[in-house]
Amino acid sequence: MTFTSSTQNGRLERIAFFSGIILLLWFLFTFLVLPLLTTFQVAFFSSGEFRLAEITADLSASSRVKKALLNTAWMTLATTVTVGIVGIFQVAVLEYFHVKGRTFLKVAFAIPLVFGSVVAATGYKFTYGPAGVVTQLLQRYFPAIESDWFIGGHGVLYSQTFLLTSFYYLFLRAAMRRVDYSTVEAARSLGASEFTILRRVVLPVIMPTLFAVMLLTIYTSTVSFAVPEIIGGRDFVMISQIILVLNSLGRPDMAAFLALFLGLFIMSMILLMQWIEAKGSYVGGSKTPVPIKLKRVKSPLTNIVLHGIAYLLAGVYILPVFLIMAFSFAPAESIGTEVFPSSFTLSNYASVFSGGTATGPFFNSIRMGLLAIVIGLSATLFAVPIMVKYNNWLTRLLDIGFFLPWIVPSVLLAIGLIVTFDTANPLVANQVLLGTFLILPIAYTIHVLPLMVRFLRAAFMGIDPSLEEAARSMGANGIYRFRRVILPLVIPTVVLAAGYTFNEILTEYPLSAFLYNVNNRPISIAILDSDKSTNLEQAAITLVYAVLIMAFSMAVILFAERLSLGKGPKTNSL
Amino acid sequence: MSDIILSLKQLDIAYGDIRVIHNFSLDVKAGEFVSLLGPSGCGKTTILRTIAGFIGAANGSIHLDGRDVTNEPAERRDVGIVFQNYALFPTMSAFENIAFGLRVAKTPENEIKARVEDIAEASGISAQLQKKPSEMSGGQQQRVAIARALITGAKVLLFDEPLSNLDSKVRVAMRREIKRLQSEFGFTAFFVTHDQEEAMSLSDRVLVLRDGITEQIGSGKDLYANPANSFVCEFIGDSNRISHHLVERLTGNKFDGSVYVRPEDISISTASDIGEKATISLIEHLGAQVHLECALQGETLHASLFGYDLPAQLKVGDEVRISVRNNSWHQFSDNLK
Repeated sequence: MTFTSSTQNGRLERIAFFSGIILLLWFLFTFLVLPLLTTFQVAFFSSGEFRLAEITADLSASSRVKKALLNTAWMTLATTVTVGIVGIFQVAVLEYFHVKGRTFLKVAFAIPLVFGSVVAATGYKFTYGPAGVVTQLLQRYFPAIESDWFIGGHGVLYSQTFLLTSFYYLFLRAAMRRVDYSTVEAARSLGASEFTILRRVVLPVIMPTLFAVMLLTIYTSTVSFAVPEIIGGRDFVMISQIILVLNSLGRPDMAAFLALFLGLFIMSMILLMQWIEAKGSYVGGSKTPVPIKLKRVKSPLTNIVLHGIAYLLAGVYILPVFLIMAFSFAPAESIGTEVFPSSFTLSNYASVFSGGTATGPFFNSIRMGLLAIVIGLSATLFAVPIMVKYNNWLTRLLDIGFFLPWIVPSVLLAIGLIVTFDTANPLVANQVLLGTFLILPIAYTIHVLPLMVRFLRAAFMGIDPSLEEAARSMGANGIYRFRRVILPLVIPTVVLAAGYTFNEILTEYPLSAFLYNVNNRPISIAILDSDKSTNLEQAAITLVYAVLIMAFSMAVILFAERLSLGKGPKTNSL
Repeated sequence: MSDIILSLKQLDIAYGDIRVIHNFSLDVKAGEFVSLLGPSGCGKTTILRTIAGFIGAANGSIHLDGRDVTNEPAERRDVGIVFQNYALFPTMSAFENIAFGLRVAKTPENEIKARVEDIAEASGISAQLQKKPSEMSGGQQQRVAIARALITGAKVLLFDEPLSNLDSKVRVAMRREIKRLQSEFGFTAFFVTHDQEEAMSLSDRVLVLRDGITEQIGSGKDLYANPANSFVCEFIGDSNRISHHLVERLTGNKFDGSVYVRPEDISISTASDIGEKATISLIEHLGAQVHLECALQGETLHASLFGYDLPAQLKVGDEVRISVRNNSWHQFSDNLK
């Protein structure tokens, strides 16, 4: 190592650093900040005039808009209650009461983690919809039942009730595990009843998390798109759908206004959630907290009812997944005609893997997903170490930039990208991006940035700074240190982040619905279209897609568990 | 040519507006073992990190082997560092950890292999070379860390409390191992610790630091026998601070300032009537030694004696006579709060 070469390395590093910063700021400004600003402009101004009164008048005159807002409001409220009941029951069954077959129930209740968005909505329609197995069975015994009995607001509520419990499964269970059982025993030894213990000892510890997951449910239900689109039918429309309709009807101003309104609501929800999270962090004083001991229900009748409801719930979760898997191996003709396939075949899988026009959307999604991951990881692997290491105006700016897509609903981002790039824009070399292949991977990248930053920030913050100092003291320059010391440490998290975001992109619906075109029709749109079409071959291929997406999600989750928990003990009390 | 290998001249080090090290100077000779000893937060690690190049100096200069490195980045200083937590790269084997510096310097592969094997043998870790850090004991990791710091030929090795994560038996063994490696490889050691036993047993010279200022520098024996001020006297070893009234009665001399007596310089007698009357308030048997707490005239004195010197029947509440060995007291004009 010579003095001169080190100086050259230093100069190269500085050039690379500043080029990276400029590129990053350009990307965030062009594809995030500018679209939001343009949305403001479109929503409130026309030909330089402030038009708030005019737009609000137009919106309030529209009965469809009013109905969509009303539907969104009641659906969100109802979903919060029903998801809360089911979610708390699940947590009680898995973490508080002694219930036989907990491992099985745990797997069943985890299904929404791998079965979400457009895939799940299709699955529920496949099970309960007009050609669904449950409908066929019901009609056998009650012929008066109409085949579209499930379609409408009640169907959306039913589906969301079982699809949004994953927040409870993940976060409330973790909160329950933080309850120090010695505090329960202490309360019991002081003569407290079981109810008092639950109310005064257990509930205060889990209450902040309970509030946070309720707010997450409100957030998710408000922006719900795929489920009402597939199960809501013609008469039940929610706010995201009406924004899409307004945009396609040539009223981007009304669409932008509603998207901003939705964004404001979501932002307030998230800020409230963060405030509750920060306020309610209980750190127990115990150095050796005792894990909670499962409580046996003494009354036999209560015990039977508890087990009965738990297994019924498991059945509700398993049924759509089981049917999708079974029918993915069935001849296409059996879809909608048989309750359970009478014969099995691999031809649907062969069609998918042999290529052909039907598989175009699948490979589109893979290409766009990979592109978004490469861009997203390049940006975050470059920015996050800087954000972790330094605290100045630039890193604070980057922090806000990466955080913004998390609080901006996808619908608002989509409208922003449409109104910004429907004409030639100098920031992208005077290109019209709308209608091109690139618009969707760009949107996906913006969408997944917060998730990547969260993953990578945790990974980088976990690195002992003395490792880099040790490498420096042995003469290693910045790029060498990053490549040889830092990168190998964060690679598992990078793979995990890539897996999660790829999974997210495969099932992403709102951005896809607004921005797809003939060049980039993704799998989520293909799944939705096939649900509406009468082509059975296409329907069978859609089932294969659903199975592949679920399998991929499962692999990612298992990898995440392995990464975060290690190999774990040989036997597990769970 | 001067044999000074590390020279720190009038160093000021600051964190923002807060100056933590004031006008610090030190010359370290080639092959010398110097320890920086002081309580937590006194600035000893800050000085080490400034020598390494991880913190910039506000004023003053650092010369390494005659070269001014004050404004050089860490990667160009050519010092080896052994960290408190060893800082071994967890994804690399012991071999790769040791070879890291050689690979940075683009050393040929066959030379890397030979040099790593040589140093591993000298450090007693040949059998561990293919293991990852997580598969090695604390002592083995420590040896890898030292070998890694040594292999690039760094003449000065900085040790940042490297023994504090080890249990007491391994700590003593590793202390001896570091000393052995130093005499074998002849490197200059700059050792930061808050453990006085460690500093005194390893070092040619010990520098006692308080609030960023040098209180005294000398051999361990010298610091203990001739402390320069109240702080050093209290920090190095145990001591009794005695009031003027009591010390005059015990010694018959007049004193100004503060007066200290080491516990081993206090004599206990049950037979004679020489000295002042005191009552035993505590007896602690510490193996070879016994620690006594004696109350007299409203003060408490600590005495330390070998077990076999303790009168057999002595128990808490007994009356004894206490005296101070001639000229064993330390008198300082400063008055440590």
